[in-house]
Amino acid sequence: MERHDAADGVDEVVPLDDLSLRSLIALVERLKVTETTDHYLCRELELDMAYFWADENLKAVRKPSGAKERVVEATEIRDRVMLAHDFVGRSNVHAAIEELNKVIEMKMGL
Amino acid sequence: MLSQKDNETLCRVGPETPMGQLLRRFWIPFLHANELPGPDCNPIRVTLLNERLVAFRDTDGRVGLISNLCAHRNADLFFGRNEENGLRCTYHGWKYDVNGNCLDMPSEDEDSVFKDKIRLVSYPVEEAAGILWTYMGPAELKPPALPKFEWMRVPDDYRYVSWNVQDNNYAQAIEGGIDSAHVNYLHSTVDSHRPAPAGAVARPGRGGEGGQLGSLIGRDKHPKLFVKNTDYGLLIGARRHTGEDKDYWRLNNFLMPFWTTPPGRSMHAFVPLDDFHVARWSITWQADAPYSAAERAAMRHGQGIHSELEAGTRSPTLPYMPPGHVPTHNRWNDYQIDREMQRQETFTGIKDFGAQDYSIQEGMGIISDRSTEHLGVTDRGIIAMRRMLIDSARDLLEGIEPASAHNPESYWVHGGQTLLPVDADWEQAEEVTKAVTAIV
Repeated sequence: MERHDAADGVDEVVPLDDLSLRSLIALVERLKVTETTDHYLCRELELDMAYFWADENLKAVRKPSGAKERVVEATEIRDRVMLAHDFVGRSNVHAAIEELNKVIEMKMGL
Repeated sequence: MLSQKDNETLCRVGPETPMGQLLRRFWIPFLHANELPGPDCNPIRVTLLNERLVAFRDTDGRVGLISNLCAHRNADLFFGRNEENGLRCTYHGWKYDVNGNCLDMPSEDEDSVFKDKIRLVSYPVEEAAGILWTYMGPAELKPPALPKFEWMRVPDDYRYVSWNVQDNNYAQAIEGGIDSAHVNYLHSTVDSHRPAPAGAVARPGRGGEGGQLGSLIGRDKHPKLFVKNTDYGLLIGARRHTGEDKDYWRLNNFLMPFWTTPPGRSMHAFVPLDDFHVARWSITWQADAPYSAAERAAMRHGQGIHSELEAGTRSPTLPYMPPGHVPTHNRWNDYQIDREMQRQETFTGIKDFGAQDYSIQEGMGIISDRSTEHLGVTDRGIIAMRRMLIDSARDLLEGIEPASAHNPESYWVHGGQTLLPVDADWEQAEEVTKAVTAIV
């Protein structure tokens, strides 16, 4: 797996083009070095984008033919991303990382 | 994006809500002073922070802001008689002074002391800069003074103030007030979206006075937003590249709990009337000269940040308010949008600058569902403002008072604009301080 420099993009809003493991891990790495007000604003915007993709994924598996367990999993992922978003809003970076790590574990099938 | 829970915290302003408690820690403008023109004039209906109140000026000229319902059997005191230093209920004659004390109960026995035990909810009122202000929080926590705004220090004829009712929650109005990026679109002309003419000159100037500076907005439709925490709230810098050796910076302020400043000598207060309506106060002023009669007439007809108002009309959705604060360009007439003007002249086709703003804010729904929005990189200021309000409301629940309420001196700012060298540290730049610091 590709390594990410923790400080990469911490001062910027890094667009999330998907909710892939790579995007999530990079976001967690940026969260780990998030300190200033501006950093938090950037992370909140990134989590906005993460939520968008989580919601899109949920919509995609909610089709009548979709498996129930996939809907349950996608719902949990979306809710955890929302929780992470709100934790960042309260400057609770550790709780946000915890939620995203759970999402990463789910996506890895752990 | 905000979760439903956070959105509720942000938007609900009643007395029992966290945000309602926070807002009640600040002085709040609620009427023009001349809406109560003289002693024993007609009382006025007021809705403020989800409370229904009646304002009246007594025989001695003191202003009262008291609960609208008589303590006896809830008759509406708006229909009361304003007489001999008190407002008398027309139902059974109970009479109240400006502090809500019951002065008289003619229907009770003459030797009854019942009246001494009756007191209506009342809020203290200050009169300054042609505005009536109230404080609705705990008496022992009343801020020592009104916020120190530059426009409150200029002579009355150097200032123009208006207010209108909007049919939406206050928070989405504040968001519009600090959103620098929308200027490139909502308030733009059709021409500005065509290739910029060569040779546009950039000249630095003080906030709002360098007209040509403002023309640089069109050079960069992708402003980068920066946010700085201040004693009064937030300073939000929007940096636009000009294609030359200096960047154009547009500087907006958010001042706790509902004030915003576009660049220049103008300011808004978005005062929540209830969860579903906001009073959009607009204040413009000059530092060195009075406004002419023609300038006042122009503002009365909607020039600049002011809106033209329909005389005598009451809001159909908020009847418990004085008449005369419904804008001429309103949601009931589609803001008088002119589609031909939209094709040929302005981006919106809506003539009134203020109506351009509230056409969007009202269109979001009375309380915008922020769980469905997708914020972008230009929304940093908006996120910071929401967080400041939500965090402050939560802090208050923990017993932490909002420091800005007790720091009126810190409000000595206005919006501005300036040029800074590319890659300058905007937070440390003297030009920024100069552009946003009041001087009168």
